[in-house]
This record gives sequence, structure tokens and C-alpha cells, in this order.
Amino acid sequence: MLTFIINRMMTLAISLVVASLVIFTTIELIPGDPAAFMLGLNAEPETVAALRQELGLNGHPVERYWRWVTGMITGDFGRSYTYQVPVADLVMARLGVSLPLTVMALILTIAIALPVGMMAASKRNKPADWGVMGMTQLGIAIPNFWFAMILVLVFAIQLQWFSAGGFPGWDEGLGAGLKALVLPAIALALPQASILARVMRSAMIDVLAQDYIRTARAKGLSERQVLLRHGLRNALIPVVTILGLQFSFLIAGAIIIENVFFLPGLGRLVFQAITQRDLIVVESVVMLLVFSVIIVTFFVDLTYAWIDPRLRHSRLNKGVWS
Amino acid sequence: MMDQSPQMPPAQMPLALKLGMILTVLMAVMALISIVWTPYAVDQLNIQARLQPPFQAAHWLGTDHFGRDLLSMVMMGAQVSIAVAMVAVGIGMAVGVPLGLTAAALQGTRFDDVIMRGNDLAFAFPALVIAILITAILGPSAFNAIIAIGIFNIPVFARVARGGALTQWQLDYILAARVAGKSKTRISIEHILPNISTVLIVQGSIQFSLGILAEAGLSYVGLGAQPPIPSWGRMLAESQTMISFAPHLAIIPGVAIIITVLGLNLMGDGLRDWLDPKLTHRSRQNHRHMTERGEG
Amino acid sequence: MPLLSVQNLSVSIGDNTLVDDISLTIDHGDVFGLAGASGSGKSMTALALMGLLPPQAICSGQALFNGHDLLQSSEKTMRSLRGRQISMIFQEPMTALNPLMTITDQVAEAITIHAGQDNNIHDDAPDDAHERAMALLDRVGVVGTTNHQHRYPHELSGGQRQRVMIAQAIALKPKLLIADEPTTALDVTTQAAILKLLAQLAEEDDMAMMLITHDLAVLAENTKQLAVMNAGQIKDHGATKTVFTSGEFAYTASLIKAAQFTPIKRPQKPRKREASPLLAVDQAVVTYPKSTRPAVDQVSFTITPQESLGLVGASGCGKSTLARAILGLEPLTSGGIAINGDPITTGQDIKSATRAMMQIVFQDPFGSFNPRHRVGRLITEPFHLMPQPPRDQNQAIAQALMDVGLRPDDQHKYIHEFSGGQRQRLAIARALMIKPNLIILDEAVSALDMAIKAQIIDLLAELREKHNLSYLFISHDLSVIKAITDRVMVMDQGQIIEQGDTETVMTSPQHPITQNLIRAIPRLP
Repeated sequence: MLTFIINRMMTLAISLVVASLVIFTTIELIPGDPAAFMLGLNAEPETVAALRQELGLNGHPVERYWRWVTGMITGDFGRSYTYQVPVADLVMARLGVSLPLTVMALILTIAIALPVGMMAASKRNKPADWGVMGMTQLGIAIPNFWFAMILVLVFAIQLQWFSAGGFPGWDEGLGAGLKALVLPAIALALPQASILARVMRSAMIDVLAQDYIRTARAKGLSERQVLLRHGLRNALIPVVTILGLQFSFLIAGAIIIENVFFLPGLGRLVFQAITQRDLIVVESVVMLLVFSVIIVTFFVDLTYAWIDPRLRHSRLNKGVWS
Repeated sequence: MMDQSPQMPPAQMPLALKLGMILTVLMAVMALISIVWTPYAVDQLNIQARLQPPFQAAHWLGTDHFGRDLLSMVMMGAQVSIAVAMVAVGIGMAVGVPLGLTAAALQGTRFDDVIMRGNDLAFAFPALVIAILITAILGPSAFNAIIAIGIFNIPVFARVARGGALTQWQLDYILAARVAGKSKTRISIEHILPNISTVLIVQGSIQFSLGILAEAGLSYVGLGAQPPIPSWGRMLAESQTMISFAPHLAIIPGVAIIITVLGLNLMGDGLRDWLDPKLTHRSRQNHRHMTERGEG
Repeated sequence: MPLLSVQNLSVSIGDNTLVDDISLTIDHGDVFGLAGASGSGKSMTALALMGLLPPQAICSGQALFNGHDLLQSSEKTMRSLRGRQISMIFQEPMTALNPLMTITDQVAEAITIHAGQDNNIHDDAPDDAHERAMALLDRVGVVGTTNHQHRYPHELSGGQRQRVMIAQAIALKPKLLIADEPTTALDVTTQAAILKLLAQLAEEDDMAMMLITHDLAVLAENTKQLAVMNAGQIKDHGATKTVFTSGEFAYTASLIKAAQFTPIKRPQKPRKREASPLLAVDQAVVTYPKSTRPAVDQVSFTITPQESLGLVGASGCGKSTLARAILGLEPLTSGGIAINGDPITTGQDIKSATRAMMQIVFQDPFGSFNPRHRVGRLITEPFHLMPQPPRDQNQAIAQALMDVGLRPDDQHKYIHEFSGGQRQRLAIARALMIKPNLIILDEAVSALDMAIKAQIIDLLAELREKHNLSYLFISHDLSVIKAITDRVMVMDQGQIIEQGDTETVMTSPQHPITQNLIRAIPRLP
């Protein structure tokens, strides 16, 4: 197990380094002078020079990459050109909206998908199963931001149960903050839950056809015991893989959905930064997003090994002939 | 002896395939017609006839706040969406499939390792993030959306191609070809590629539908096609402030997206069942895994 | 009163009658054999008795066991009987255990699941269940570290896993154990050991056993009573010895005849070993990356022109790796291989002329052809190795197809239009196409039915005479080896442990592993 963790941590470190290099070089690729690019066409040469100084654009790229990375590790993401505050402060404040939204959507996804998928599998090829399959097929096809708009139309405008958008801030109390995130979280979760429910269903059907399920029945376990003791854990292996990937799409989806609900999250920050050409903010937010995906992948790998002893004991053996 | 015939699909098409084809053809025809004709020009403003509700003789789907004909805009939007998604799938296949085939042919070598690691890493960059990076450099445009979604498709196809190819490499007929002295390149092109084409086509249809969703998302946040080119995502973005008094502006483009994506997904699932009934649930799941990777 | 009395049992799914009105009885402590080919209804019979038929199956009749009718009892009653009074083990030891649970937990579960019920032995707290599970694992001979606590199925071999299955099944000392093809997936030596264990357990616990298998020889050696099924019906039924030897049982007699195939079409005169070998393998070693033990370890041998050499050994002993190394598909770690004096190196560097001297025929008649091409294109693939393919390819194809007993017209068909035996003929045709000197046959007849097997072996013997071929014949089936090879090598853990004249090795094996291997083969009376 220890070798496995060390191995995964190495991968994690390499991934982070490569990802940061990719992002850094992409921003470096901008034709011409980034400072001039940020200031637009009519900038005075002195202003550009001052900004170059401020952005730390003077110096060898390797040196600047090193400064950027070490800065991030110590919590210094640089200074936003438009807001004139440290990027770290900006990002932290926005993260206070985006992260709870993502986590809420993730919890909803799991809470909907697993029972629904299991139910469909146990009622395979019966009306309940067909219903679930049809609904999920539709759920996958619905763009989450459009679903968000429809939710606003129904629950905020017609029924007036929720406000149509905006965020009161966590200072107004936990309840008010969470309430503002309910509709966005549902909109985010529905398509992902549809996907996950289908994965859960097919994984469960797969597992129920396995020989060890027959063994369990032959031992005298009841259907329920068979399903929960032997079925669920085995079916979770593919489900966890997908769930790990879904986290990154929930983050990406959150960024889009924030626009529907006028939530002050990372999404709004980054789109404003793009229009205002605030490259430091763009760079930092993108790095943060990629970072979180890589971290989640790391934890998914660990969960995987925790569930499956075959992974824990050895690295996957390549098929040996003979 | 049990006889399996991978050559001939069963005569009866699955219902999902038929339904999917009907929906897909419907949207494709709309997009094609829009190239030569739309009921009104999409940039033709008519303030008198603004915010007309749908289902009327003059404007079947109503008009927006500038009095532009919604049906015409939806038709043009279909053209843009389908074009973007199609080119993006093309990019993904053109780059990803050769990478995957090469990695499989060189399984266990450093090249394979690097490709696979690169692939894993690429999954940490959702299409939206790539689009943000590209737009930050080049500014927003439909072209950039294509590139972003296309880049995102590359690792998906590389992985599917490699996975399918690895299974084929295990089969004796490949060994027989090697014993017959064929090179790995030749085996990859002559034997492996045709035998994984089903999987690639199915994945292609899934990536196509994801491309439609991604394009809509990108143009919704302003990173896709720019005015005056109509796009479903931007139509939705513009409708947002009017949703309380003109909900049809939000509902109609959304339904257009759903029909297209649903049609492609049904077609993909149906094609897989039809062309390859032998595919086990596990491999079906893998397609679905991929499905999931594209959104946003 | 018998322990189990089955009357008029029928099972059907839809319009398919899988078990057709069978009756049988099993006495306390008896070992009862149920024979039949796959699809004859034996497994369905077993599942019906366990109450584990697929939901769409309909069954009728009566099966009295200890006062319960197994076909009419409620699911609750059946659950309390399963694992406690009647247990079952299955064919697939690799997949029949939950991969995510330790073996001790799985055995202990068989005990705790019935805790509180009227067990044949006293009740136990869950803690004790673990202790008992460990004791059971010891009893059935699961070896390795004494601490089974943290061992998972994937760490065990097939035979060891089957022992874990048995431990679960006998945990509560059931009155009846149904063993459905318990050894079919195992090597002969492991098979012998497992059968011995089962017999011993039945004896010690006074447990009746229903042994289900397609292998008549296994039943002949291990059962007292026997029923032979075909197409859902019991054809022959009686005391094992009588059924096999009296000659009154026509169906069984026909099966025995098919099993004793003697495809002997051996060359009339024993060949002299010629001085210059066709194939020379010298101290060959293949070690896979990340593996500590070489898959092929210091192997040396030669094949002379027109000689047929057998290679036997359990699965995983390195046979196929060796074959791949000879074909230049697997790099040698050290040592050398040469054909006609030309060294074989891996990769594309082998000269076409060298490569053209060898061809291979594989086991799987389904996987060895590209399903998308027509036969004509498939079997001419080796023409790549010729500097100039024959001008009249059609003539060559027709000739090769006729050589292997197919029609020239067959070249226009696709591979799925052929049966397994015909595909194997096509594989041989493909190998013959460029007139090689050596053909490697890797379990080439193992997947075929008995009768087809005999035909293919005859064909191979004929072709060898006609085209002056040498064979390297890889198989785990000693009867096949006996029929077709002049000399034989026995391989174990990557090494050749014995080689010599086939006749000699078969009758007086020297190495203990070879002796075991030959002794373990079940024989018909």
C-alpha cells in the first residue's frame, strides 16, 4: 500500500509540474508584449514599462516561471492589475462560493445517482428501469445552464420560492448562503447524476452476473445481503472512477452556472479578467482549476486502492504470456 | 459451434437508433437548408414585430427583442453548432487515433508511457479551461471554440483507440500477421484500424453530442461564435434578462440543443447495439465513461 | 429413506426444455456422478435443486430432501438450507470468489450467515467464526502463510481458490455437496488433488456428494452411482461400474468410444536423428520486465528435419513464451535460437527468408483470423515473406485449401461461415501457403471436439509426410502428444525437466513432476 501511495504521489507531483509548465508557456505564447497587450493599443510606453516591472516580466522565462511557482506555493499569486489587490485574496473570496457550490452538487449527484442506479439494476428490463433509462437519457442531453434558467423561471419567478440570483454572502448566515446555492447545485447535479446513475446501473448489472454472486446465493445469503455485501462494493469501482472525473466537470459547470445566478464565484472572476485582459488572474484561476482536478484524481486513485485489494498489492501486472 | 458474425449486423435496427437518426437528420437538414435559405435574414431587425410569441403564420417560433425571426436564428444556430462540433471531432480523431494506435503498437515502451501520462494529464484540462486559455490569448471566436473542443477530444480518441487496439493486439490473427512478416505500422492500418472502427464511430457520435453541449456552453459565456453569427448559447444568454416576460426565447434554443444531443446520443447507443451486439456491458460502460468527460 | 429423491424433474425456459422429466436418488454419504456434454442439462438440474434457477426458468416435479421438497419450498426455507444442509461449488475458481473480500471473511460469512439457526454444529460468536474459518482453510489444505487473515483471492492459484470454495461449502457440515465441474478449469495434477480432497471430506463428514462433470474418466474413478444425461434426459443410470463395463448402456458406450480416439497414423519407420538440426535452441532465457523469475529458463533443444517434437506442461509453465521467442516475437534475455543456422533476432530485423521457414497454428479458431477479410486474402498473408509471390495465386490458394480438405471455392467466404474445425483447417492452410519447414502448433487442437480433434490430427500426420514438415507440438493433452509426436519435452516453471522418446517418457517417466502428470490422468475402466 505504501509503495502505491508513494507511486501515486510521484505522479501527482509530475502532473502538477507539467500542468503549470503548460499554462505558463501558453500565457508566454501571447504574441508581443503581455504588458502592452493588457494595456491596449494606446498605452504610453512609460506605463507599459511600469506594468512590466510590476508584473515581473523582466528577466529570463525560466527565472519568471520559478518565481511564479514558488510564489504560488507560498500563497503569493501576484497582484491583479485591474483590482489592484493580491490575486490570492480575490481567489479565496470567490472560492468561498464556487467550492461549496461544487461540493453541494457533488453530494446531490451521489445521493440521486446511486439509489436510482441500483434500483434500475435490480428492476432490470421492467417499467421502472425503462423509466429511469429514459429520464437519464434526457438528463444527459440537457445543458446544465439552460436547466438552471428553467429552474429560475419556475421556482424563482413563478413560485417565488427562491431568489432569482445573487449571493447574500456567508456573513448573512449559513442558511441564507446555502439557500442561494440550492438551485444552482440542482442544475449542476442533474446531468451528472444522470450519467452516474447509468454507470451505477450497468456496473451493478455487470456485477450481479458474476460467479461470486452465485456463490454468495449458494451460501444462503438473502437477495438484499447479496446486493449490499457483495454487489455494491464491487460495483463502486467504476462508479468511483467516473465520480472523480465528474468533479472536474462540476467545477467547470459551476463556472458557467454562476453566470446564470449572478453568483460572485471564480467563473465571474475569470470571465471579467478575460475581458479586462487581467492575465495574472486568468493564469491563477486556470492553475487553481487544473490543480483541483489533479488533486481529486489523486484521491480517487487512493480510494480505488482502498476498495480494490488487487491494486493495493501490486501495480497492475502486464498480461504475461504463456 | 457458436457462430459469431461480426460482419453482418442484425436486420432489425434498434428503436433507439431509428429515433436517434430521425432527430439527427431533422437537425442536420435544418442546418443544411440554412446555408442557402432561412425564412428571414438573421440580421434583419423589425422592431414593430418584436417579442412575438411562437406558433404564428408569419413567425413560426416567434421573434426576439429586436424582432428577429427565431426559427431563422435556430436554423443558423444549428449550422454553427454542428459545424463546430463536427470539426472538433475531426481534429480529435485525426490526432488522437494515430496517437492511440502508435501507443498500442509500442505497448510497454517509453513512447506508450509518455502518451498515456500525457493523456491522463490532458483530462485535467476540460474544454472550458482550454477555451479560457485560448481566448485569453487570441480573443473569443467560433474558431477558438473549435480548437478548444478539438484539443479536448484528442485524449479521448487516443484512449479509445489505444484500448481497442490493445485488445486486438492480443488476438491470434495479429500474431499470425506478424509471423507473416508484416510490420507493426502495416498491421495497425490494415488489421487494427478496421476492427476498431465500430468503437471509433460510436465514440465519434458521443463526442459529437458533447461538442454540441460544449459549444453551447462556451458561446453562452461569450467564448464562442461572436455576433452577428447566431448561436444557440448566445441566444440563451441574451434571453436571460427577458425570461420572465418572454420565456419562449429561452425555451426554444434549449429544446433545439436537447433534440440534437438526444438524437446523437440515441444514435450512438443504438449504433453500438446494432453493429456490435457482442460488446459487453463493461465496454459499454467505458463509452459512457468517455461520454462523461466532455461536458463544459 | 434416501437423502435426496428427485422425481420427474423438468426445467424449461420459454420453449426450451432444458431438463426433461428426470428422476434420481442419492443415499446418505454416497458419491453420485452426473455426466453429460455441455448443454445436456446437468448444471440446470443442480441449480434447480439449490433453488437458484434464473428467474425466467419454470420447473416442475418433486425433490425430497430431509423432509423438504426443494422445488416447492419458500425462498426463506431454501435460504436456510443453502450452505447449511446443501452446499454447492462451481467450475470457475478464478471468478467464483469475491475479489474484494479476504478469503477468511468469505469462509466466515458462510458460518455467520446461518448463526442462530439449528446448525449441525454448535453456534458460534462472529469472532469464533473467524477462528473456525482459519481452521477450515487449514483442513482443506490452503497453503501459504499460516495467517490467512489478510489474503485475497487474487493472491491464490486456481487450485487454491477451489480449496477456499470447498472450505466455504463444507463449513457447516452439509449433508449434500453439489460439485459442478469442480476441476474442469484446473490442470490434471491439481484436478487429482482436488478430487482426492473431496472424497476424503465426504468420507470424514459422512457427506453425500453429487459430482457433475463432462469427463467420464473422472466419474469412473470417483463415484459409486452414475447417471448420464443427454439433451435434458437421463440416458443411462446405475452403479458406475456396471454402466461402464456391462456393455448394456448404449449411450455411455458411444461416449467412451469417442473419448478413446486413436488417431494413430504414425510414420512407418522411426526416423534417424540427423546431424544438422533444423531448429536449434541454445540456453534460451526470456525474462519479462518487472518479473523476478524467468518465463523461459535456460532451455536448450533441437528439432531435426521432419521431426515432430511435443512440448507439454501445465498452463503458465512458459510453453507459449518459448513458442513466441522461436518465432522472433519475444526478445531473448540471453541464449540463442537458430533455424537452419540463421540466428533469430527479435523485431523486424529477421530476414524474410528465415522467417518464411516457420509458421504457426494457434489454439483459438475464432481469434486467429481477421473477421473482415475473405479467406483468400487471409491465407495468402504469408506471401509477404516471399521475394516474389507465385504468379498464379489462385492456383496456390486452391491447392492449399484442397490440401487441408476444403474446397477451392471456399476462398470467397468470410471466416464466420466456417465451423471451428474448418477454421483450424484454414489456419493450417495459411501456415502451409509458403511451404515452411517448421510449423509450431500451439494447443492447435485443444479447443476442438473429440471427433474433430481426431480428424485434424490425421490431417497433420498426412501433411507432414507429404510436405516433409517438422512440428513443434505444444499441448497439455498427453493423449494428443502421444498420437502425433516422435519425441517429447516436459516443461515446468520455465525449465525443460525431461525430454526423450515419446513412447519412453509416457511409459517410464523419470522426473517426479512428469510421473505425477502421467499418473494424474483419469482413465476409463
